[in-house]
Amino acid sequence: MLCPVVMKSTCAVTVACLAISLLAGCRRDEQIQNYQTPKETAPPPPAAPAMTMMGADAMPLPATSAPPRWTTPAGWQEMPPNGVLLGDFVVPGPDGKKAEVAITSFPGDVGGALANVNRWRGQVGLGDITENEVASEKAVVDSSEGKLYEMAGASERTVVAMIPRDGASWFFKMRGDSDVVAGAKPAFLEFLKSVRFGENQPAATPSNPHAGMAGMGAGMGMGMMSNMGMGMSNMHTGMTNMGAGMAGMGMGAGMGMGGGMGMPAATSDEDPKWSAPTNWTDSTPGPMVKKNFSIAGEAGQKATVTISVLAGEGGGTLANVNRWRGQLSLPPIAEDGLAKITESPETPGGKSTLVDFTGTDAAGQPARMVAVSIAHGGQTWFYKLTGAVPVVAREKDAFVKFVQSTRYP
Amino acid sequence: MLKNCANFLASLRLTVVCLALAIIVIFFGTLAEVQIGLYAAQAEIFRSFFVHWTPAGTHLRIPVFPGGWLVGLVLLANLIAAHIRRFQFARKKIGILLVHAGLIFLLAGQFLTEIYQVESQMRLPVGATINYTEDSRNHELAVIDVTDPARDSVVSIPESLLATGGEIRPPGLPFTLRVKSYFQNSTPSGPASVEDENRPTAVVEVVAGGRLLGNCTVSSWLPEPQKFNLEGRAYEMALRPKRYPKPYSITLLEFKHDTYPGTDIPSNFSSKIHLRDPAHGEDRDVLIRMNTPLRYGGETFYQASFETGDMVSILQVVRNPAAITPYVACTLVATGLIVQFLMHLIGFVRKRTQVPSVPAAAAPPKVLQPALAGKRSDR
Repeated sequence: MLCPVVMKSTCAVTVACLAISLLAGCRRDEQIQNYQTPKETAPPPPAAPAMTMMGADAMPLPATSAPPRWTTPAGWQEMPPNGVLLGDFVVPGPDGKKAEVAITSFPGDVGGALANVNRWRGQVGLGDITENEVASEKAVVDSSEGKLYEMAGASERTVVAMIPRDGASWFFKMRGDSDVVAGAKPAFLEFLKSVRFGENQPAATPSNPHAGMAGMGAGMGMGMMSNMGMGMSNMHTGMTNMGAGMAGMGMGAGMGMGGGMGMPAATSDEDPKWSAPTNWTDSTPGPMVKKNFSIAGEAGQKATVTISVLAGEGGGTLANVNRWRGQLSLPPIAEDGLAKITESPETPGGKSTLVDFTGTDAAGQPARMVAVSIAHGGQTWFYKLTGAVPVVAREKDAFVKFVQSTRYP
Repeated sequence: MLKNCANFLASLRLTVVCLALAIIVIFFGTLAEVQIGLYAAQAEIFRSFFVHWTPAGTHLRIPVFPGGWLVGLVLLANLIAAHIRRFQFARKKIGILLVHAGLIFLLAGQFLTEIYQVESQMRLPVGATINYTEDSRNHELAVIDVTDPARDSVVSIPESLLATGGEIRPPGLPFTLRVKSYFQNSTPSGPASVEDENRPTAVVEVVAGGRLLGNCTVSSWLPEPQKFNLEGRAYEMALRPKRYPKPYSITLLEFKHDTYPGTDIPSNFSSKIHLRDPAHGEDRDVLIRMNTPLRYGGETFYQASFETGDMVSILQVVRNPAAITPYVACTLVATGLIVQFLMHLIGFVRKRTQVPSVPAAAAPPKVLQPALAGKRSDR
């Protein structure tokens, strides 16, 4: 009597357990899915950290700092800001060897000195060390005191200044061929002395979608598959931390509206005083554009004047000139060709750079552009007159006078 | 041997051991929530077959103690085995059988919940209409063909495939993706607490026709998707919280955050929403409050959270096909207890009513007399 019951019991329990184990072992949602969905009409702004009912885990938005200014050592090639890199330089060496200097900033201590030192050591082929073995020198950047670390591997060497400032960590890192880094170290130390930090500014917030990273998508929209992966590889604690890097990614927005290339500048309470010709119509400025004028020509032709401002050098003259040339379907030029196509008229804001191109616009129509960039007060102002060739030709003198008549606060 | 196994599986000792282990798991699991966070404690201790220990400097996972699933599973097996082993259908035991069936149902239902329950959130800014929920604990790489002005064609690639790396061929798309690097968590302040949600990032290469088109960084930190054009079509790519598209939409009409008069202490949260489901003729306003969720489409929408400024309400959305099992289990247990109690009560009453029917000639036992007299005198 017992045996059948026992057998029945054992079988039933075994089957039940196996079934439940199998069910528990199943991994759902691990397949690629394909579906159609209606377009989002009004995408909500990026999620801010959610508060619980008690409001306890609200998290402040990270603050980032305005980009620093510096004096580039002779022989260093300054690259446009790239992704999270607030500054990027190539230090050329003999036989094609080179080193790279990168400036980045992230909120907090980014995992602490030991974690970063061990990561840097790993990059040059060295093993991890303990906290007691970390060697450093004192480093001072714009009166902020930090530490200088040096890691020498078999073929590569890294020198990093890690500077805590205003709740963020600034990294000035030179990495590359051992000989090049060793030779460039004195210049690197001089470079650190020349660095001046900017004033703090708030990080990009959801209510300001055109600032910070929001611009990156616009940059991609121009068909440029951004090589941000390179920037990521330079980030600290692996790919930690795009928080502070966000401010550096405003590049796309700047491109989209035709202004400069680089970080969006802090908004000034007092804009310059402009005196526009009467035939210019003040129109609604687009994203990142301070001022916008429309100029009507004959037979429906028209031109526009846009004024924008970006922090620092706005990406540099060569990068902006080549971008503007690209907008008129013109090939890029090399740095040594820059002097041939630029003029430097004096303006109340300081020395300016003026370019004048004629090419074709996105619609394939002949178009002309006169653009002026003026470095003033740690910012770069961009004035652009773009449109049909006859209208731009007619308005160029008025445009130059307009730029020269601007009074800066 | 088989008999011994069956006896062991159905033994009361095993039940006691399982209950004792369950107490230990619950006690230390609750303490662990302080150290490693609620989500990690649930995953590592309660929702696992074993609690593992990883020696420092290694990636080994050595099981050191039974986890919640194993204890529950053995307890379930023990209950079923005992049920079958001692099953004797008799009217007197029907209550006990119902109680045990209820317990089995409760345990089995909880397993089904663990396996099939899907929790997600719906983030609703005031005035916005949303037709999806998001799971912030899991992410997806969404490759979206946005060429059609009316509809988007979404290919959702689970994060686990990014973690595996290699080449991914999104079905129906003219390109492949090569995962160059993947970071499960990329936070702004160094190593994050496991309580925090992961913010993954990956770098993928887009390859079409054997030609590398470029690198593309996707990250849950990026508020905008990456965009590119290929063969006349526009694509967007985003690493975002996993989305569950819905055949209906919800619009947040109003969010209320009431406080007790004169204080900042919250007294009530509520979201007035408009539910629209043309396929089922639904077009109505609903008020979702704390403890008053909306149940629709097999899902339950709870008022869960909000964002600063009271302009964004967050609803917790739970799909649990086994949600009914606790109610059924409790009903079974309660019915069994009531039946058992009533059977005993009826038996007791019957015994009492049988006392007067004792023949009058039969004199009560003499020994009871003093006791009864004594009790009366006590009053």
